[in-house]
Amino acid sequence: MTFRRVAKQFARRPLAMLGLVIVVAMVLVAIFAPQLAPYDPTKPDFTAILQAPSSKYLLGTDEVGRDLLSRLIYGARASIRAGIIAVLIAVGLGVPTGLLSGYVGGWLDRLVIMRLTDAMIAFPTIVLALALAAALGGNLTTAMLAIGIGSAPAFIRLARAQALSLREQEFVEAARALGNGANKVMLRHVLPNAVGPLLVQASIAIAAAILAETALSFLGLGVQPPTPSWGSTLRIGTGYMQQAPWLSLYPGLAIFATVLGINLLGDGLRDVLDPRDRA
Amino acid sequence: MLSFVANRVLTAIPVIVLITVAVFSVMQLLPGDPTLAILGDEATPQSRAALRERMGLNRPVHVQYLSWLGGLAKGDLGRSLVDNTPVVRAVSFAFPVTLQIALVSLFISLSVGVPLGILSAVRRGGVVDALSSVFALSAISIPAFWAGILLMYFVALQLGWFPSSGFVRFNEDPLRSLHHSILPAVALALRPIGIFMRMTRGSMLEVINSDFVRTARAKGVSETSVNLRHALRNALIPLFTLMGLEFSGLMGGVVVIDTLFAVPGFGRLIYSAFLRSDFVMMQSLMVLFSLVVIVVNLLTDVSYSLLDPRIRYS
Repeated sequence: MTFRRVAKQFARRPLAMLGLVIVVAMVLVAIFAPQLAPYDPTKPDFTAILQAPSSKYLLGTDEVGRDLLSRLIYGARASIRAGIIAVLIAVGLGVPTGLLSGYVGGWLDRLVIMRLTDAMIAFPTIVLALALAAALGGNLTTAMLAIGIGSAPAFIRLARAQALSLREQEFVEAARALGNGANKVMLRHVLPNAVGPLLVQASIAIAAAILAETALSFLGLGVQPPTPSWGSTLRIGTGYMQQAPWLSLYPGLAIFATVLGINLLGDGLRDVLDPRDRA
Repeated sequence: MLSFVANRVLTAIPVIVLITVAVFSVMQLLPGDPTLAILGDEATPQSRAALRERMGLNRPVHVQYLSWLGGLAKGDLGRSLVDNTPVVRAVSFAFPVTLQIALVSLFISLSVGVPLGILSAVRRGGVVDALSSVFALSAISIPAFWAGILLMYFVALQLGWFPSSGFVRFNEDPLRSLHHSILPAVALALRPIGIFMRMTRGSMLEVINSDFVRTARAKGVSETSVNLRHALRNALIPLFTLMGLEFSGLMGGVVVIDTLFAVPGFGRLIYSAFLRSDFVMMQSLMVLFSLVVIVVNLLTDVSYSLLDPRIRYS
């Protein structure tokens, strides 16, 4: 399917377009944070502690008088970056492993790679993050690593399934018959045909990765203070739930809107690119 | 049937061994000396050496691993580094709490997700379908801990319908115990509600258009009966594998939700072990966390094959 046709079909879906708009807006907010934020997100102002939302501070201030809106604008950077990097790690680990597993098959596939994948799935991402944080220190890097490893099995399984079905297709057999090596066949013939489903999976995985990053930052295992982040602001907010409910409300809304946008986009992509699930 | 179960159990064993190796290796990377964590900075080298000897830390790594594994196999999970109590005891307190919340959560997610999915499929393209699809996607997109915060703020603190934190054990007071587990369970149920709804809708649509359903309709079976007896029974089967997969996420979610609602469950146990650098406790809990997920997946696979004989032969 050409890019033009994909774009055209995509544009006909209002919910998918809404998702695209939200995602583009969030990415722009992250990029232009310094221009958009009305205040310095890390500079405390002890004359403006826990101010309710007003015309001066649109979303109120936090426990050391920092403007919440500015912190949420900068917080988009941490979450979006974490989502993308974690998924890149997952794709980097998962896609080559899955393609190899499906294409080569045999004992490597069934006895080694599939069992490893089972073990990875049995390990909840947050528990893995706790282990890595204990060993390497709790920060955004270990959080992204844990989320990346935790998201890899989905890519291994998907790439494997794609390789298994494409392996039997005539054009792949033809490529093999022409004397091309396994590496070349996988890279030139199998991978390009698996891009659609992988792209759909990647969009869903970014949404899940952002949820995981904010949960880890909420536990104090991700973004470290004073760097602004949505999850760690919620962590502070729960301590002031009665006096300053805005600290518990708006950061969650930012996470929810971003993740919903990505999921809407992903659903739209699935409808257009992945005919299997077109129910 | 028996060979299917045996086969599934046999494939689970190397997975469990892999997990113990992975957990043990990660814990070897731990910075610092556990004897310092226990005895504090002022400990004399002699007392630290004595403790190392007693804990078996002077033995070669593979011997330490095998003795830990041997202990695990016998149900000996070691002793907490912080208060020297057996890990098994802490686990036996926390496990029923988490089991209860997980079951309540599963009950809520099935009893909301599945009917919504059926309704959407039967009324495909209508208002109900559109609304429940948006609801399902929102349920998947909302962070569980933020849903928990919202429930805590609006339902517990503002309306006062449920307690905002803490827990009562089931054997002490079953009703109050259930009352305490509702909010954490709802927060954990949102994602599975969305997933189950979408899955049920998808597989119902597939089944509704299949030949045997058309035959049932053609021979005059009522619409409700077609949908519920013929279509639903077949549409529910894929839900089983999904339930097993979702369980891993649920066990992860428990860490955040236990912390938020101050529930003395598995999640809080491992998180406080982490905060207190109780690596013996963490090591054993990590294995238990994945063991729970593996056992649940095994059970769903087996029940799935009981429901659908086709699975056993493929």
